[in-house]
Amino acid sequence: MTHLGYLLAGWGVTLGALGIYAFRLAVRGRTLAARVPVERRRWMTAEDDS
Amino acid sequence: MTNPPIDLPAHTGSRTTRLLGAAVLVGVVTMVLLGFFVAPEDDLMADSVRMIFVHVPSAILTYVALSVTAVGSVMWLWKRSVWWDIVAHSSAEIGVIFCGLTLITGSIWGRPTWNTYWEWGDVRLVTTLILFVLMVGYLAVRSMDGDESAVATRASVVGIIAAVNIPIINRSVEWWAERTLHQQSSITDGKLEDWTLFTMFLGIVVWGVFYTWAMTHRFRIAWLERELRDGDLDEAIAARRAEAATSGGAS
Amino acid sequence: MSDTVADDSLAPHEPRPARTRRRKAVPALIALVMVGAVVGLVWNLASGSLFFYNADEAVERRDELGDERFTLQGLPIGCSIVEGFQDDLPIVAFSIMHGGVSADIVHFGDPAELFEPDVPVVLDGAWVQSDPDVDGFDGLADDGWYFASDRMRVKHDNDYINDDGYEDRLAESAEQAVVAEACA
Repeated sequence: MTHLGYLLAGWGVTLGALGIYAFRLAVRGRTLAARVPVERRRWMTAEDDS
Repeated sequence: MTNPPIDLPAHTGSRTTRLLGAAVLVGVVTMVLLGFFVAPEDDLMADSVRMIFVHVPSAILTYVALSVTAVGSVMWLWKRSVWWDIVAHSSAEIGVIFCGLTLITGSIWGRPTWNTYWEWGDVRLVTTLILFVLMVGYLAVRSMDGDESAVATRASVVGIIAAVNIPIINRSVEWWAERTLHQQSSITDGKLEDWTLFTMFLGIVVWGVFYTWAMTHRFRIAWLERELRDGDLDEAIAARRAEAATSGGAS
Repeated sequence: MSDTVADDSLAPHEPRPARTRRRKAVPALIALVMVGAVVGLVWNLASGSLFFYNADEAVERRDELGDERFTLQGLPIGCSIVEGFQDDLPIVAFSIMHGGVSADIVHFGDPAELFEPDVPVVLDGAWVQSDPDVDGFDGLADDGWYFASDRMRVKHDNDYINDDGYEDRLAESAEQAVVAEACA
């Protein structure tokens, strides 16, 4: 395969950045959710997460 | 006998976000397989063409995310809708990431194909960079101290100004067709086919699902931040009232 | 809400520090960067139409351009390409064409990876009033001028359809008919 270094760099940066951002979102969500009473987390319905 | 502890979820996920997340993971694996092993190489660019599968979806999702920010900004200015303000802020953060990835992947792709990482004279490249700077500015404005409403208003103005750039970026390669290094649109000109076309569209769909997943979480995070601030404020007010009542009673 | 948070929020707060000069500077800096971005956008749009001269325009403005550096664009003509060395420096001499007008080029340095006939190139350099002194190069313009280039970019098109045949597509272009005649 030609240009493998460029391809790995481009795909790697993209998937890495999106992965890191997704991970940070999940961690941030957990940290904040733990500090807010469950009744104020409006999206948490019984069907979804009980 | 004590009651069993209730398993209260402490995260911003839900069944829907988990499904979206799983879809993204499956989609990315499929993209890698199709992009690297099934889609053909280009007769001029050889295998470097495989960069199109991450570059173009990132560019399209930049447009989508920042357009949503613009809509949210307008709705904030018009209706003073906090919901739309949070949508605008959340979408801007994700849009900045996609815009950055568009610039980086385009630059990496440019080296073997154009023979340069960057071309200051090219309208498409420079206007995209300016969009990135404006959106980073938007996030900087949002992180500033001050009255929440005033910050939202300032950021909305920046968000709308930035969005004006989107059609310019998109159409620049057509308006300056004879003057740009960047090639014209392959999608609208129908210059893609078979697995190349399919994989690129799959990329757009997968990035779109990721955007939806990230928007959902980011929105909920922003919501939680507001709840936390409001909760703290309520408690602080209550504490001050109690304090006042106590000191008033004592005197 | 957890006790920890409640305790934190009700704890006596330190008085907010007065705004320092540095903190005041942050919004000003943000505003400056954003104004700079908008100015940059306008400047780029205004100058974008002059990113490069096509070969026919550059030939027409030769007197006006003089020995000034500028950017030139055109389609390399296959039959004219000659690669060699000058004082151990790789060079490639070729003719480009645009709008039915050709110009002779001497590029100093390695050509771009995708440099090949009939794929447009964008070159930085200047006009030199002299015949190009490159062994075996017989420029199609042959007008006593050549463009001395030291930076080459390849301006590939937006066509990713392989079955169509790249050569076939080029053969259909307007320039190709002129090129075929020039190389005949």
